[in-house]
Amino acid sequence: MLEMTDVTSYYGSSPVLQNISFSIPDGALLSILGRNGVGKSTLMRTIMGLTDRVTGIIGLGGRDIRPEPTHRRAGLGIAYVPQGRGIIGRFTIRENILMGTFARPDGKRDIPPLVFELFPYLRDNLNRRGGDLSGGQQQQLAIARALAADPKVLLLDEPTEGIQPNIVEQIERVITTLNREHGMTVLLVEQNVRFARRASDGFLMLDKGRVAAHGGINALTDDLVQRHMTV
Amino acid sequence: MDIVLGQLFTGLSIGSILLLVALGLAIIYGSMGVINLAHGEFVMLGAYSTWLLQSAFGLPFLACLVLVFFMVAFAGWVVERGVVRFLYYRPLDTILATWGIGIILQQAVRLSAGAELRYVQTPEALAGSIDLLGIAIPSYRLFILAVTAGLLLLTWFLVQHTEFGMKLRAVTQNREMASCYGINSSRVFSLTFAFGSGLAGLAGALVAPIKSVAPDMGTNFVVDAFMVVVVGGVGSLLGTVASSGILGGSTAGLAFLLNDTLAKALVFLAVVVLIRFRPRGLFVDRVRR
Repeated sequence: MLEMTDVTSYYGSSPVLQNISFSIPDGALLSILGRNGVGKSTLMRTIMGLTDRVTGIIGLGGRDIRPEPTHRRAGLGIAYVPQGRGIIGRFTIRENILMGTFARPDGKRDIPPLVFELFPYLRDNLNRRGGDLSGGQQQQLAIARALAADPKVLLLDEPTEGIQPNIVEQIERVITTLNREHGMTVLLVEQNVRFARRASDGFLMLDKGRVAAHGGINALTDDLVQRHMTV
Repeated sequence: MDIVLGQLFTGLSIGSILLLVALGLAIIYGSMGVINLAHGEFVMLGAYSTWLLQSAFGLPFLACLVLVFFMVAFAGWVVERGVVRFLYYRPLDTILATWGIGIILQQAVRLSAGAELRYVQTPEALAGSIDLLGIAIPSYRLFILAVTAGLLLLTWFLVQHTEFGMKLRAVTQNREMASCYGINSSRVFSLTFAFGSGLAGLAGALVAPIKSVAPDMGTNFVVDAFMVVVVGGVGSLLGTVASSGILGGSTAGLAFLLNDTLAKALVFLAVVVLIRFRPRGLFVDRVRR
């Protein structure tokens, strides 16, 4: 169970997120929705400990992880695929994936077979440099790196943004598979409401840094979408 | 022929000392982006540590080398933990702070060890010279060349082929993502700073027998080291090697044709012109991020 209780998150002295509370049960998929700039990415960065200051409680498995530094949160089983993917350009595909294993608490350095089952392209091009890949390939690599960490919770920040349509479909399938067949808890920032409705168990609608609505995916009415997502 | 070979060796010898001094700086500047103006003082500390170990404890030179590496690495670690780590991504403050540390170290040594020149003995086995292709080459210069090559190889292996090196490269390129994948970036940085400082100390120990050991000896070294790193291209070990060779060779050649001072001035001028046209140095690694 990942949960936030009354979390306020700051960049410098300005609170970007205010009084956020929500929870996501193990094995569920929660979509975070809202317009650009309402704090969706900041929410993910807050979970990873990448904002300047946070108040409130960030609970993971019943324990407050707020005092933990970023690298220790990774070790607790949270893997983060940021917007822009955060691929290490000079690393090969192999090195990028291997980097994911540094977060494993068991200290193992082998790449889980699942990674290559999901992304055969990566298996066949292990020595290509991350910086030379297309956006879609980089997104696959970023997810592969996250999986190499053997995480319990996966944070995906707009995984299909700016990616060629054939790969979008593949990535959506991968997300659903990971969640439904491998029981991974997924927190997904998504602009595509259709996919969110299809894949999620619940949603969290943000507006101006606050929770506008939160609930099961069936409660995501067209009216809510109209009010908080259309520009 | 003899003259050419002799000059070639002089060039190599100067180049190897340049490389030796620049290697630690290249690692620290190239991977952490820290402009460490106290680098020369770490070289100086290395030279003094060698003198101390040799004159006060009578340790053999080779044993000194190993100890000095760890002593100066520890000093570097303390400086990183105590000062530098608060100043990452604030280059101007770092320059000022490390410059200040340099001055403190200089004065501390001047007060404790005295301002007079100190001498470090060349080990007897390396005091002579070797005949190579008809020219007499001082064994100690050859020794420096070999140690430099060894250290270069060690550094390259550490950065490219160990897990620590991979973590360091990850932190260098994307500190945030590195920590998101379990890498303790501040630990990686302090160990790297310690390693680079240790290399500087080792450089100081190795040049101690052939240069005068004085509290302000670091100043020249830090200038040379920065010249090498900037010409080679920040973050490129190969560039550092090539630029040490080029700068060493051209200094030696010009010094032979003209004189030492003029050679140094001309090399500086050439570096300034080069930086004007290739601001990122000779070897730039181009990659899409």
